[in-house]
Amino acid sequence: MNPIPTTRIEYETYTLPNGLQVILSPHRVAPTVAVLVLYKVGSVNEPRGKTGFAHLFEHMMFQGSENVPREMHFKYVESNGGVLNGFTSYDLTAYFELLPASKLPLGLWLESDRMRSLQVSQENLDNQRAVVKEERRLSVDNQPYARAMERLRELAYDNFANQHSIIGSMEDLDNATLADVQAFFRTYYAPNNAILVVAGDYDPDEARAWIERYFADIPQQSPPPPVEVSEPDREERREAFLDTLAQVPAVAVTWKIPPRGTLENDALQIAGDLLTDGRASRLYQRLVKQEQIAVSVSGGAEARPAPSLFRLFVLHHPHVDPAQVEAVLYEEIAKLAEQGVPERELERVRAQLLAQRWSDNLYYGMQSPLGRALGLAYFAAFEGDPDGVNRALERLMAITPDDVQRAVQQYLHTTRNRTVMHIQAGATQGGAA
Amino acid sequence: MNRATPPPDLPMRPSQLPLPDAHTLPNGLRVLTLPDRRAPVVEFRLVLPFAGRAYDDPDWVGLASATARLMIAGTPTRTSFEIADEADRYGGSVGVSANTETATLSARCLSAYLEPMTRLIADVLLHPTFPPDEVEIDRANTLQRLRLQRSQPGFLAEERFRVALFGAHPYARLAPDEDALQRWGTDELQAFHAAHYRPAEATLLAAGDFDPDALLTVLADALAEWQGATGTEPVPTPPRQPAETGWLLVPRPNSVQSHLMLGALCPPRDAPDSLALQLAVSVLGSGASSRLFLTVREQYGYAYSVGAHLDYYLRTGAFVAEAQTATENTHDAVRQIRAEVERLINDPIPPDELQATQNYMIGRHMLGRITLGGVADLYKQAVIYGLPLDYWQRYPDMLASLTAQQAQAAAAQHLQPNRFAVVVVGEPSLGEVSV
Repeated sequence: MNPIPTTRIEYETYTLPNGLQVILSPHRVAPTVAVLVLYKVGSVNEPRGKTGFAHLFEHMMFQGSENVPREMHFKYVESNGGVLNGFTSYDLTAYFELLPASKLPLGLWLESDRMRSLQVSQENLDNQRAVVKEERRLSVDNQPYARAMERLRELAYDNFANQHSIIGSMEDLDNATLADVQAFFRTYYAPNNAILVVAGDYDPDEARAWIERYFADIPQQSPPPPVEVSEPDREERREAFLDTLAQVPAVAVTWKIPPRGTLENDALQIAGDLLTDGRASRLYQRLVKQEQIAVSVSGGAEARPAPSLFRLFVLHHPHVDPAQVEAVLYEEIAKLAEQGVPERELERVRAQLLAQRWSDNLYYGMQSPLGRALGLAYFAAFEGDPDGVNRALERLMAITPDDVQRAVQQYLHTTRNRTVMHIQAGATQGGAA
Repeated sequence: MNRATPPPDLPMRPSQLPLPDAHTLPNGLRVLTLPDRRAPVVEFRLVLPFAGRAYDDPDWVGLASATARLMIAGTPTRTSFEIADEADRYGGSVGVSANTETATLSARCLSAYLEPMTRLIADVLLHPTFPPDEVEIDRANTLQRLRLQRSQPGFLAEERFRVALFGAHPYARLAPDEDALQRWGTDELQAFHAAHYRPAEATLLAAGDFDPDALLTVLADALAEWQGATGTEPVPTPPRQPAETGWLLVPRPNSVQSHLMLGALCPPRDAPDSLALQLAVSVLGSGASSRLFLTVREQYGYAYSVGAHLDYYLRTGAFVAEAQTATENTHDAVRQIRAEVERLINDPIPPDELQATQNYMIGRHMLGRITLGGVADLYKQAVIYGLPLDYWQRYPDMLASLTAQQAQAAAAQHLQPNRFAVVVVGEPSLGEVSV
């Protein structure tokens, strides 16, 4: 058998005098280029009364800048054969264009214009507020389990920065003002709080010249205020949630765990794969196949640059007592904590980790220039070094059975920091007329 | 320095979508091989043209999907756990799904494991045993999944929309029949597999980092005992007119938003004006500079997600405009979508907008060429819809040559809003008002 190849993502990085970190990662496979700008701001930066603001602001970034009128950002990209989007998470906000390689200067021009000179009006703010409310209805208020998951996060965390949802509350969205938008832009959308990545099919010298031209004279701002994300230890919390949109009951359990970039978080990533990744995983085999009490099981360890959650979510059969589901989860965790994991089982997980590196997902996979750009940007932002994208795989491949066992003993085989929610199915049967 | 206008383009490097080589195994299986070393991975797509939901006996609706799901539930030499575990160890996955007409086996692995993965695929494909305990687990879980799906507005809308378009035609099927689900067992599943999973009409595509001769040798050996044709008659062409039109409410208590699907039947993918219609529908509702996005979302704020597209079946197409909007805006949003369709039919598409939309469609297609899986899926589509293998090579030029008149004429002929089915999943009270 041939040796299994690993891959290195090649890149170079430098910082402009105004503090903008630039990462260039040419990769000439398909004639496409990805332009990504990551801003180090997310929902964690929102104070009480302003939930949802970072995400609402993300919408405002498409509403026009000095030389790009409203609607024209979309049109410039799409009429030139590109796609674009932006997304907001707890800890970052990112914007990207995937463009034909010949359109690289266009992507850089568009991103620089809005970093330099966002222009917003009350009318545009009101319109996007309405759009975001529909997004909230679509993704949370009208979906089974979504409101329960929002509540679970509030319970699981103790620090407001981590507790509240990205989409925010309707009330807080109503209270957002134009002055808030302008202040947020000044504070967080400065070049010194951003990372620009260009990946795909291009000549790096040419890219440098365009980046210098468009980004170098955007003024630096004072660094944004730091945000306190630490979490105290606490005892178990439990709650029942009646979901009037759900027809199948569920059990959700979380534990607070250390942030990304730690041995413990890495080891718990592996534990999550062992427990829930695929049909060969322990919890799938036990709950779905052996006990036959669950319909599906999902979960794993988050990798936030802040105290993260290890999550388990089990859809279970209506006649089953949720306490029984819980008991099986804890038994399987106890088994990992007490008996550890055979090397052979870890080998399976390692093969999957290696294969994930070659994922063809256009957004996250490393076959795609956007996936490479995101990978480099995440590690640059969260672990201070884009090369983390290469070292992380080596780090995960080197996790030993002892590492996994110790991390499970310390963080999962305990009621400390645990949160349990039983979601009751409150929807009437049927639905279709 | 000029920042007021967009910069000039860089020169474009020419690129060509590679064509697979076609081979036929002694058992009649067509094999398409596309060696491509961009990643050390091999993607497999096997298209079984007569194993989808449309080929269920009317008394056994859901059996095709159950057969597909349970193909990985065991063979004489492997348990379901062993199949999953082995695929994981090859850095891959294997699964079968039933679509409207076809069933597709999709698999991938790291190139180093090409041979053992090919043998695993062959075992799954040829020797599924449908063990009774696995069938029972699948039955119970499918019932719960069906409940879950029917708590989701998108699924309820799709289910009702298909019935509106296709009535009693098999294309209407989406979910299993709950009565049939209680009845089938190992025997029925084995019989469906024996009748519908045959090599002579099927096509296997392999794309990625491998040696075609080596793969063909392994395939010829591993699939040698797979023989025969299904001899199945293709499903009849559905009627040209939808079974139901007008306001069709699916009451969903506690909804805070309405899920809208407006649509009509249109010609199949291989019809002469199909690409012109795709262009018109893209002007209407594909992407963030489309008309529906700019009016329904950016002007009125009625929806976060709004758009239009064409769904293709082998013998027909379906136009779909879709949005989710607050309950109180339901009627206004429907009116606005209809108004945009009317404008598409009545007013010529301005040259700039036509050109922009053509570029966007070509660009979207080009994204499909970035990854191995994307390329494999392009050729899978060509196989499913009976398109020539060079269809995607020619697609950009074909699109670029279309005129505004052709797009408008196709829209006028196939998208008459007074013949739309208007499915609304939402508050029960929405049924009391008519539009």
